[in-house]
Formats: sequence, C-alpha cells, structure tokens
Amino acid sequence: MSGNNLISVTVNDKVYQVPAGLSIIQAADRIGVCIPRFCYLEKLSPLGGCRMCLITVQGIPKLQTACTTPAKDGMVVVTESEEIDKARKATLELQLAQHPLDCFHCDKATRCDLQDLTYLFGDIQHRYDFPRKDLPTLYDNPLIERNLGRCVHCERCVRVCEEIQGADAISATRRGRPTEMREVPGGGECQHCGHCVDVCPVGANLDRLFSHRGRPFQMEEGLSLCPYCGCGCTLSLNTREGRIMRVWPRGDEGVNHGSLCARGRFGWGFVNHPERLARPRIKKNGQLVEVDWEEALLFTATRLEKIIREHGPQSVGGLGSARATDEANYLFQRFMRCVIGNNNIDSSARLGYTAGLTGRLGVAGDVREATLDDVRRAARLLVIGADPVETNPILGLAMKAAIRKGATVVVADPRTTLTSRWASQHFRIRPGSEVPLILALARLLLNERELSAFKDADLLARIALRSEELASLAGMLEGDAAEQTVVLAGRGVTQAPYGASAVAALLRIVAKRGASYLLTVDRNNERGSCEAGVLPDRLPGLAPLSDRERFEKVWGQKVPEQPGLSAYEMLQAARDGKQKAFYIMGENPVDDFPDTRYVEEALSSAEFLVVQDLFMTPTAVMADVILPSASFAEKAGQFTNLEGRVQPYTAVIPPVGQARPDARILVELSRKMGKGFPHKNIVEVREEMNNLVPMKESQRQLACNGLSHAVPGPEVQWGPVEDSDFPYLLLTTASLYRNGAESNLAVGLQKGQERAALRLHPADAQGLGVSDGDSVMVTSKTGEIQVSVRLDDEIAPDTLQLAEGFSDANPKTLFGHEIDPVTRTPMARYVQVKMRKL
Amino acid sequence: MIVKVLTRNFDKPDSHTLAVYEAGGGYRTLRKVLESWTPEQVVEEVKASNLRGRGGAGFPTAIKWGFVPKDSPKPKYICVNADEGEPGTFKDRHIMEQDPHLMVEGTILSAYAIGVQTAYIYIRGEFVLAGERTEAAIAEAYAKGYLGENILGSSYSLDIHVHYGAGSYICGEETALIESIEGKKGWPRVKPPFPAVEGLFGCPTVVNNVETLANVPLILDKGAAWFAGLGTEKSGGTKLFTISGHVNRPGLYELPMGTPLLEMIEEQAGGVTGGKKIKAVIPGGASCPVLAAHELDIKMDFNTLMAAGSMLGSGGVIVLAEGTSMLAALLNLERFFAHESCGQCTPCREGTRWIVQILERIERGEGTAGDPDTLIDIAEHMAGRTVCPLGEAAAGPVKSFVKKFRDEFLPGPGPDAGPSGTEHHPQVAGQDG
Amino acid sequence: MSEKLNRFIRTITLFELLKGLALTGSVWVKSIVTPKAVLVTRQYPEEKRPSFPAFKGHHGFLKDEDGSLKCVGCGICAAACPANAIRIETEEGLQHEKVVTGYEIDAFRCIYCGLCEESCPKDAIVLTQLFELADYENRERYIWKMDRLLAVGEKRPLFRDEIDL
Repeated sequence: MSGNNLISVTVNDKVYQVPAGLSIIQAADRIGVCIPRFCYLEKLSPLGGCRMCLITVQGIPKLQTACTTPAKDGMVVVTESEEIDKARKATLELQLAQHPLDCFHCDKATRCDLQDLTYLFGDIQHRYDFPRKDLPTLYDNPLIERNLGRCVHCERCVRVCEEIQGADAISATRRGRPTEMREVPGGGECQHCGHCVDVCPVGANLDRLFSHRGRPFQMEEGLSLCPYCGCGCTLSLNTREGRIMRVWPRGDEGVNHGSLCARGRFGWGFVNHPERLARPRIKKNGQLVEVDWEEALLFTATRLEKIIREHGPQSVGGLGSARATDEANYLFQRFMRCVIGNNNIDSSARLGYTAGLTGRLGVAGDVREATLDDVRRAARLLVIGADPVETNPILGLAMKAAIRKGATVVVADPRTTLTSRWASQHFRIRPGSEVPLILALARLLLNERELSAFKDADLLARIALRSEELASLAGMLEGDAAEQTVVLAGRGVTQAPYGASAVAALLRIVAKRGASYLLTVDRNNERGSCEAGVLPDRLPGLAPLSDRERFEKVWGQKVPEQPGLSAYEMLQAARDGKQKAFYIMGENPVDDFPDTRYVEEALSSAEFLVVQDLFMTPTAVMADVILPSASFAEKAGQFTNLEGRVQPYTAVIPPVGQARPDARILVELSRKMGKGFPHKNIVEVREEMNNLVPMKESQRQLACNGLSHAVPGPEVQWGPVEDSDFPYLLLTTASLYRNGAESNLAVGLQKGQERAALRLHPADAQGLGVSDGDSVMVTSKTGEIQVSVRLDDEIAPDTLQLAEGFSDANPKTLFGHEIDPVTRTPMARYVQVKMRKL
Repeated sequence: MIVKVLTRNFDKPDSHTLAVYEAGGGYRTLRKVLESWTPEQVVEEVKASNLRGRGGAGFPTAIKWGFVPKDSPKPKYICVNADEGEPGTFKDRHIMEQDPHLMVEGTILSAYAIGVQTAYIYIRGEFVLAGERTEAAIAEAYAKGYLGENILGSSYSLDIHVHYGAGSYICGEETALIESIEGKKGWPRVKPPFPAVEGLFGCPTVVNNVETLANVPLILDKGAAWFAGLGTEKSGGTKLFTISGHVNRPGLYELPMGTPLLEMIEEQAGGVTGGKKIKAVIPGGASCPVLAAHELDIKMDFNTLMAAGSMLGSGGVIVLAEGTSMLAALLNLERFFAHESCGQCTPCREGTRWIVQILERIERGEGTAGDPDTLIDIAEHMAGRTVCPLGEAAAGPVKSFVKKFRDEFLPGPGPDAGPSGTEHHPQVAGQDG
Repeated sequence: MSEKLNRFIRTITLFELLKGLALTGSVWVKSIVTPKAVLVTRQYPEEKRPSFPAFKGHHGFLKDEDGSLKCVGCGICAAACPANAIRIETEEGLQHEKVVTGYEIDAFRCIYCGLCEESCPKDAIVLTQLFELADYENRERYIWKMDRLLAVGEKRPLFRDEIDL
C-alpha cells in the first residue's frame, strides 16, 4: 500500500483525503477526529471487543466498530450522534459496573483510560447497585501484578504478549464474565518485558517494583538511554527528588518504538543503590579510605607523573569504557595520548566487537549496514554465532516482527538459545566452527582463490553439516530476495580464531549479493567507544595513526606514532613487570575478561591502579585510588548504538553523593597534570569531537587500509580437542536478566532471575545424579565455579550452557587467556570442563 | 399434517446404517448429480427451491453459497454446524442418530456445488451417540466410494473430518465454530470479513446447519418445485419442529412450513398438560422473542414470524402454560446466556450478568419499580452492539418478556410467582463472579 | 515674645516631649484606676479565648474506630494544596496494600486554606482550632510529621498548653 494512494472519506460532513488501506479508526486518528477506545492499539491486531469505538457507516444499519472496519473510498462516516453517544455511555456504564473503583490506591490513577473516558463523558448513569465482585490480584509474577478485578477485558495484554513479544505468557482463561487474563501453567514463560503493563488501559497489569510508591503527579519524567545493551533504547525515567522511581518507554519513541526488555525496564535499581560509590577513596595502609576530590585527584596526578618519570610513558595503560559516553571516551583517549603520552588504550570492546571492526576495515567499498527497521522488514535473516533475542532483545523483537510478516530465519549456532528457538531452521554446528562455516559459504559464493586450500569434505566435517544443509544456508544469500536478507553475526564469529577474516569474508559476500549485515553488540557504547578512539591503533573516527597530524593540531600535543598495547597485551606487560600503572574507567576486567585469575594477578602486579566506576566491583577492590563516577542518568552525553546511530541525551537526576561525570573527572585530572583540557562543559567536548570526526560518516570514511586478512589454513584447530579429563563442553550465552556488574545490584533483575543456572541435558544430569536445582562444581584447567543446575532437553548432550553476567557464577573464571594474533581478542566461546555434584 | 420427508427413514430399524439408507434410495441422487449435473446447476436448483437456513437465521442457502468467490486460488471449505446448542432444539441430533447418511449425502452434494475438497462436521461434544453414528456413517461412505478420491469414478474428491466441541454454546456461532476448528478459543470474529470470503484458515468457507444440508439430496432428487411446493411462498420445504414445555406429547415433528402454531400444539403435541390454557410460546428456540397468548394464531414460517416481531429460528417451540412464572422462565434463559457468553465484548459480557442479578433480586422480592425499564435499557444496549448474535439472542427474550408481562417484573409477587427452580450455574456472576 | 524666642524656649525645655509624656502618663494612670471590666484589651496570654469552631488552624490526622489511619495515601490533598505544602510517601505493605510511610506538612508553606480537608475523600485530615503555632526552636520543627499530626488529631486541643508537641 503506497502512501501516494489516497482515498476520499467523509467524516461528520467533512471530506478528507486519507491513505488507502487504513481502518476507520486509523483514518480518524490521522485527521484528528476523536473516537474513544479501550481495546484498540495501533501496533496490535484489532479486536473489536470493547465496543467503545462504535460509529455509523452510511448504508449499514447497525453501528460498526471503527477499528475493524476498513475505510473505503467514498465512505460516509458519522462519529458523533445521539445514538453513538448513548452507546458509548452505556458501554462505560457497564465497564464501571464491574470495576472496583479503587482509584484512591490504584497506581494507574490519573493515567487511566477508564478514568479519562468517564470524565470525558460526564453524564453516565450509574444504576448498578449490586456489590462489586472482587476478583483476586495475582502476585505469582515477581515483577508484574495482575489485578483481575480491574481488568476491562480489552485483551491488549494477551495480544501484545503474543504479537509483539512472542512469549505467549498471558492467556484469556475461562469464559464470559469470569474471563481472567493471566499466566497459566503450560503457557509461555514471561520474559518480564513489561509490554503488558504499558498497554493496559487500567490498573490491571502493574509494575511491582513501583507498587504504591507514589502518584504520577509527584514525579518528573525525563528521557534517557538504556545503559545495558547495544540497542540504545529510549527510556523515560520517572524520578522524585533525585531518585528513580520507575522506568517506562515514551510513546513510540526511540529505536525501540515503545518496547523495552527486562533490563531496560526493571534494571534501574543500581542507580540509587546504597552501595553506590559516593566519595573518592585512596588506599592508605592497605585500607581504602574516603577522601575529598582535591586530594584524590592530586594524589592520582602525582603518582602518575612519578611513574611516567621513572619508567616512561609506555608504562601506563588505560582501559576505557564500553559503557561511558562518546565524549567521555573521547577525552579518555585524548588523556592517554596527550597527557600520559602513549597509545595503550583499549576497552571491553576487545572481547568481540573490535574483531568485527577489524574485519569491516579490511573490506573495501560500501557494505550495507542494516538498521533495526531493516531487520523488521527483512524477508530472510541469517544468524551466525549470535543470539540477538538475548543479547539485544529489541533487535530480537525486530526479528520477531519480521517472522510474523513471513520472514524465514535460519540460525547456525552450536547452542540452543532463545533465538534458535524462534528460527525456521536451526543448524546446530559443531562448537567453534562458526568461522569454518563462513569460509565454506565464502568458498561457495565468492570463488576466491585463497579458499581453494580447503577441501569441501573437510570443511563440512568440521562444521558438522551436510552439503545440502550448507547449500540451503548459501541459498539464503542468493537470488533476487538477497536485498531483503540481513545477516546477523555475533561473538560466535568475532571471538573465534581468525574472527576478523571471517567477518571480512562474510561482508564480502554481503556486499556482492546486495544484502545487509548487522553485528550484535553486548554493551551500550562498545561501538561508540571504538569510534571515539579508544583503540590502541586507531584515533577518533577510526582514523589510522598515520592521520594524526590534524588531531595534533587541535590537541596541541604530539600523538605517539607506534600503535599501543591491546587489553590482554597490557595485562601480560603488567605481569612481565613492564606495565606499572592502569587507569581503568568504567570497566570491570576482573569479572568481564576471560581467565579471572590471570587478570587479578596482572592487575595486582601493577604498582598503581586507578579505578573510576559506580560500584566497588571486584576490580575496584584492588584499586589504589577509586574515583566515583556518575551513572547514565546523572550526566549528559551521547551513545552510539549497534546501528551506528548517535543518540545524544541529557542528565535526569543529580549525581549520587559526590560522584562526577567521567568527562569532568578527566578534564580535572588533566589540569592537575599540567596539560589541562580547555573544555568548560560537555557541549564543548562534543563540538571538538564532531569537528574532528563526523561520527555518522565514520563508517564511510573507512579506507580499506590494505589489511590483508590472513586466511587460516586447513591445519588450524577449530573447536575443542577431546580431553577425557574434561569431558563436557561449556558454551556461554547471554541472559535477559544480566548485563554487567550493575545488573546484579538491580533488585528488579534479581527478581527476574536470582541466580545463574547451568543448563544441561536430562540424560547428562541423570548420569551425574543431579536433578533440577542441585549445585554442582564445574572445573576447567584454569579455575572452578559452583553453580546450580537447570535441566533442558533441547541442549545437545555432553554440552553445558551458562549465561554470562551472574555474579554468583562467573563462567569467565573457567576460560584461558589465549588471544587471536590478529584481532587480539580472547578466545572465549567454549571451554572443556568436568563436573561433580555437591 | 405430519409429512415424512426428512424423517422418512427414522422409524426403520437400523435406519442409521448404509444398507437401510441405500435401500430407501440413498446416494442415488449423488450418483445422478456427479454424472450429469454441474455445480452451477446444483446451486440453481437449490435457489429455486427456496431452501432457507435451518440453524436459526433463515438465510437463503443458495445465496450464501453464492458469496464464495469463484476465482479464489485458496481452497474452499464447508463446515457442518452440528453444535446444536439452542435451548429447546433437538432436531439435528435426531438426524445424526437416526439418519446420518442423509446429512453426509447432503454435505457431499453441497460441497460439490461450492467447489469444496475438505469438509468438517463440528459436532457438539455432548452428542456421544450422534458422534459415533456420524463417524460410522462416514466410514461406511468411504468404504463404498461415496467419499475420498474420485467419488463414484468422477473427478470430484471430498474428505470429511469430524471435529468435536468442548461444551460451549457460542461455538455454534459460525465464526466461533471456525475458530474452534482452528484450535483457538471459541471467540466469534468481527464480521466483515465474512466466512464466505475469509473463513477457516483464512479461506472461503460456508457454514451450514445439519438440517439445511439434509434437505439438499431431496431437493436434487425430486426437484425444486416439489420442495418449494411443500412450504410457503417464501420458505420452501418442511421443518423439523421440536416441541417441548407444558405439552402432553413433546417431541420432534416434521411439518410443512406454514403450519399453524396452534394446530402444532393441539394436534401434534397433544395439547397443554392438565388441560390448561397457554400463557406464552417461544416459537423458535430460546433466543426468539416470546409470543403472548393473544399472538398465537400464526402460521409458522420465517416471514410471518418476523412480521409478528419474533423469529422462526431453529423451530424449537417451547410452550408455557398458565401459571408459569415468566420471571422464572426468563431468569432460566438469561442464566444460560450469561454462562455461555464468550466474554469478548462488553455489552454481552457485562449486560447478561447484570440482567441475571436484577432478575434474581426481583425473585427474592427485592425488586424496584425501575427494574423493568433498566432491564429493557440493558437489553437495548446489547442488541445490535455486540460482536456476534448472542447479544441479540440474550436481549430478545428480555425485551419481549418484560414488555409483554411487565407486572411480573415489578415489585410485589406477580400473578404466577414462584422459584425458578433451575439448575444453578455457579459461573454466572451474582454470587461467585 | 517673638516666634523665634518662643521656639527656642520650647526646644530647650523639651516642651513637646513633656506634652507627649503627659498624655502617656495620664492614660497610664487611667488604666490603673479604671476597673478591669471596663478595659477592652484582652490580656493575652493570661486571658485566652478559643478560636471559633470553623477556624482553620493546626492540621490533625484522624484514625478510625479500630485504630487504623483513615488516610489511604491517595495524594489528593497534596495535589489540591495550592502551596505544595504536603509531602506524602507511600509503600507497599506486607499484604500488598498501600501503606502511608510518611506524611509531612511544611507549616511555612501552608496557607491554611483548608483545601486538603475539603478534598480528602476519607475525611482523614482536618484543620483544628489550635491557633498557637509559634515555636522557639529551629526550622526543622516546622515540618510537621505524622506523629505530631496524629497527636493533634486525637486531642483536638484548643490551646497549645493542652498538648505536648
């Protein structure tokens, strides 16, 4: 239906031109004619059940529901008449007859459609004088209250859970007046996305984190961006006197178009948490003691200067932040390069995203990057080594929307994930074989000479696919529909050996076929931090070091010529005694980097550790100086999401305690070290940054810099080696309820899922003698963790799956610290373990 | 005068078997039609016969068939509505128990006329014997080549599947029936789109009542003119009337369209029990407006009853004798509708419950003077404002009972007050919600 | 004598001053010798008159017969207050009910209009006849919290010395 196709509709004696293909209520909304409704919501399929939208269509004797009647050319519609008014008031009278009328303590009051419509119509009769029946309120769901008595049976919650979220958790049970919209055993599992709370027109589905804590008019609302994954959803924070009370989406705004996931909606509890670092601390006599900012900054500056004097500028390393704003990251790299004087800058983007970036940088010309809307409209989706439904749930929603429109989704992944459960086809490839798979596809679709070293049969055996299965995967990228094919790749590819080569090959396929691609991004500003220059071998805008002259002009300092150390190289240098100090901003390597013990030992080898963060993370505990930083809600800046979309935002609440925004801390520290930055506020930082680097075009400015991607030979060991001492293979996944240290402190996410759950097949469980909920000790060559077990018959036998991010069982402890020689990304997809029951 | 057209086999022993059906000439018509008639000819014949739907709406059958788009690439379906749930109606059950092959042959012929390859018979879950006999009849038909691939050597194939309901009156409504076959809960759909265009699995679908389809073999056998001649000008054929209530001989009676109501009651059903006078008659099943004593001199066909402000409906005649509490009768009906309401739309879901609560209050002696008007007001909001006709069905009796017997709904004991003595529907709100 | 001399003498002798003092003195003497009943000035605080019943004085929070707060935490009083004087804090109780955990009236902001009393749907707050609101101590004393409001609501004192606040 093209927008150019207009039809003529007469509404209340006036003629209007509206696009063809709309229902009457949609046409009315567009022309500004008000038709009251309960059950209709534009993003859901129309129901026609509440009967509030009844209007007259000329030629049809009975009143028709405007939401289900298509507007046709020449139609004459009347939306206001005595008959219609009578019908509306009668419907309201009936709705009010069964509603408990407890507005005094209902949390929905003043935002309630039933209240609003009742006030709008005014003279409704209230003849119902029987005692109102109290239906129970259900509290089984830890985050969502279902007050069945207030339900107006609009069925929006059922429809949104089915049509948008796809969880099918809410059903309309029983029949007639006693119909209850509730979760039922055997129904889908609630994913705590909160859609049902948002769409409910009355107080029947309510946010339990907020329960009874205030009235809408006591709170202020401010827009912000979600601090968790790379989607960059727009949130509206409800705050009162500087504290966040509740989070919900704002209308249709943002890349998320009014949807949120459990993390964004219920994970805000860390912001005003009592354990937030409120004052700087310095380690004195082995104890971290609270001091004021002057002392902390002076101490830091003095120590850093001393280390630089004694050991040279290369002896300090910086880990910038996949969480902090673009501006803060930009200042961080300027600090390291100009004030400290080296290129030893990296972040947790090294854990996967930089490999993808390296791959992209090696492909000449335009490769079309998909936006979330492109994914929604895709006809085919090929997902390799990624789990968008759990890493980036809003991207997952876009995928689900595409599926509902008929898209085919094929997933190639050794794990069973939420994404693979949605796929039309799931190819369970051998663990660690995402890269050989891509090379096999490249061989089929690109005919590149270098790949001829592979023999088909070998490759197929490594991947564990049959040739017709590989052909059907390749078929996703062939034919005319390739333009509407989106390839999604994730850490399965980027964290593998030769991950960059694989990404490059994949992008060459995508470019050749005219398809588009998108890399999943785990943290909110992984991409922005890289594009701001937090990389050892790139300047802001991904400019190569050879381009440093124009930066030096603006910064007034020379930029070191040689590329610096990446994250693991820095850690190794610390262990070797060459790196003396670390400045860690907004990162928690002890928890997030593979091989926990290695990281701890490396950090403790350093003489001086500065940690700038929100909480006393396991990394902060080791620090010599702790600088408390402001959370996302307490500062202004911009984030760059996984699409490359730059989104600026402003502060909503004042900083907790004496915390300060990262950018401000960096400016003040630079001043203390004698090479002060000139910026007086964040706008000046942004201006300088944008003048040097037009962020939106940073992708286009990528020159193929002749990175020749090494093509692995057939002798490369893909995947795990059999080891009888460690018979199980542990694969990591993401979780809807965790993303980083702060998520463990958010009470909402704790309620969603309290503890980590190791998934294993019932047959394996039986062999070990464990049942659901038992504790086991999982041991690898590097470490061991204790975790409770959850049986899942869709997991492959001898395989275990554990989600990252839970503080009670960190799989990173089990991994080693081997890194890929090109991307320098740690290989952390799978590890061999043994298990014993506790 | 009783006419044995549809019920001609009923009294024969083992009438439900293929052998008896064939001995009486069964499936002869099918053979004739498949050999020498086109589907269009079948439709024309049925049109000329004035056959109107026997499920309650009385819509001309051939015209309903004509709504199916001829050139649609989608498969077409026919659903046989054997969910007989209308209180006072028990005719389809007898057809299925005593002459299921008549229904099967009628289904095949109708499917042929529309261009259907797959038919569903939706049988009410409580009809155990009817279901068994229908399934047995279908098996016999398959075995004899009357169903399946290339029926009787022609190029026409048809499969019939039996699907059972699970205890819901609303699944007798055609779109709710379709939803139920699709495996979803039985919530009627908003129309348009109509099933003929977008029905089962989104494909063109015709839903016909058992009795309607049972007439088709006879029409095609003896001709439209014969069939039309049996009835009245606008309603062809006979009707299976199920007479119940305060009569001496309640039961199933096949009578020509246009039979006078009083004759039906006095002669066929043996008159009112105890020789009492008739107080009121519900002419066509619970959803039809009631006729008071002075309105009973009427011929029973679709048009005459509509002109009298009621409906022929399914032909379920319920006779209420002098001394019956109309309050109790209405309460019984409305409890049923409240219990069976699917709950999807506000007027029916809330309106039926409120009506029951008011009627119960009047029964307890706590009624108010405003109650009759309130009842009519609620009923008027339900009629025509709901997703499906259950709203009208529940509203019709309220309006007719209260208007015609108003003093029984006012405070103070009415002339024939008494407890409703009906089975208690615990799900109906009032006490337990 | 000339004008100038006249004025000079008046100034030297403080004549105008003595004239004023004489007036004051005579009134003072009159007040001593006049019987008390004829004097019109009420000698507050020795003599006090209670305020009229409709007087809008110190707020009082009320309880039901069974001892629970009438207040349900709906917030209408806070919304109605034209001076933003009321601050309410509520939380979820153990039975998932709404519990009022904090109720404060900023006595300096309050303009004693009584809209809170008028708007309260549960008649939980009243403005009593207590008009003696002055206090010695610090500003914090003028944020009236629930315990104080309940005490006033229970006692309904007419005068400050009837209650210990």
